[in-house]
Amino acid sequence: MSSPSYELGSIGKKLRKMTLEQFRETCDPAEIIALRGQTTSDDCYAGHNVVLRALGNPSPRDRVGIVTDLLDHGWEVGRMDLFMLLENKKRDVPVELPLVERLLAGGSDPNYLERRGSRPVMLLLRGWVSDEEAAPILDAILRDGRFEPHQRATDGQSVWRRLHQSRLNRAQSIDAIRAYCQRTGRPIPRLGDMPERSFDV
Amino acid sequence: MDHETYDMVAARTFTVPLTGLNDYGSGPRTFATRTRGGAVFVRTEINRENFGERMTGRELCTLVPADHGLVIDGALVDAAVVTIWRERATVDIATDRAAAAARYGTVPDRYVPVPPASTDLASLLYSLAKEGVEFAGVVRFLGDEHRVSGDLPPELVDAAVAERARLIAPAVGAPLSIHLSPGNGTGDSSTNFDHEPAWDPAPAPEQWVEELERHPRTDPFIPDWWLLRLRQAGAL
Repeated sequence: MSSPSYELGSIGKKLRKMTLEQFRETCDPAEIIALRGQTTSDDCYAGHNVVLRALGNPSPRDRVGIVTDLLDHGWEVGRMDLFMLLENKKRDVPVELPLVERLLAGGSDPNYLERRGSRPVMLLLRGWVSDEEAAPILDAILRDGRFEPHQRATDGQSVWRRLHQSRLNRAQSIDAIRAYCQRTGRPIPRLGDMPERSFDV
Repeated sequence: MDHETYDMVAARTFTVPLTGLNDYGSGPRTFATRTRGGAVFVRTEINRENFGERMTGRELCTLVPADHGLVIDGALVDAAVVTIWRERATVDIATDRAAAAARYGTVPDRYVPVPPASTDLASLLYSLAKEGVEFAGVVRFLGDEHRVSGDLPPELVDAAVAERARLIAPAVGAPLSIHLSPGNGTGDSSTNFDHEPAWDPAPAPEQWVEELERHPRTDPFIPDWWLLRLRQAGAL
């Protein structure tokens, strides 16, 4: 008999590729929750966390449906969930927005620093979607109030600075984040505050 | 240094050394300091540090921690004087920002989309770097003119000029300089929108007013040194 951790890992791998209909036909969310109760793993370890795996499903409709079903049955929101959702390059904002709001309300971290170095808002605004398209999700993150635009990725750039480097296509998001900083009393950095080594101007 | 030197310090551009940063510039961002008689002074000249952050003197005054003095050109400025300078700098910057917002506008209703990214410059940089061509330099822009500093192949300069033309957007402005080098062997370019280019001789302040009219920026995208040039030209 396999261990609960092994079972969860096996289910998680399938959830990355399943449609919502296949999930509802073949999986029992209550059983998955029960298996989770028998493990003591870190919520940011995708090996045992089927929600993290499901959030990597390439279809927006399927990943939102599967994760929503699991949350409805009592799966707890994890710190890394928002990051995993926004890591997907294929985005359907109207479909994903309710899940974004639910993850934020459940305590998912809008500043999560993943080991490869990025943060959720960097993924949201990395060039795959336009400012207008991403605005509802960015607004949801800003409404949540925990977002820190000055926290840096491992390459030394803050979310704010990275946006400024692509300012030609991100001016609307920059304005939204600047207004958020003013509203919440967060400092607004100077233009050009990136530390540079040997950058000849 | 006394109060009368504030105007001189406020208008200068400093590259203030930072410590605690790794090779990528991440990590705590702390001003490098020196201590004299128990008092702490923020240094304004790079010595052994790799990283510095460019800023105007008045921006620096607003960022110096409380109870810290400054070392400027080897002279020590007491914390008490810096406290007075901080208050002046805060008011001066806010006044100029408000004037710039009134004259040049602030957040527009909608931004005009820019054309899709071009790969011409990146491709050329990559091929030159892979061929082992040695080059390094800066192309500086002002108005419709450009000037090359360093050693850059003509076709690379042409590509940089074309890239700059693509990167012009209303409300956000245009690049001021593009720095080009082989980098780590695949070509490297840095596009500068924010720092005052090192023109020699320096352009007249009126030329920066013209540049702003030619490539409009709203207040949030006008860096502080540019505000100083606008004030010098009587355009605030």
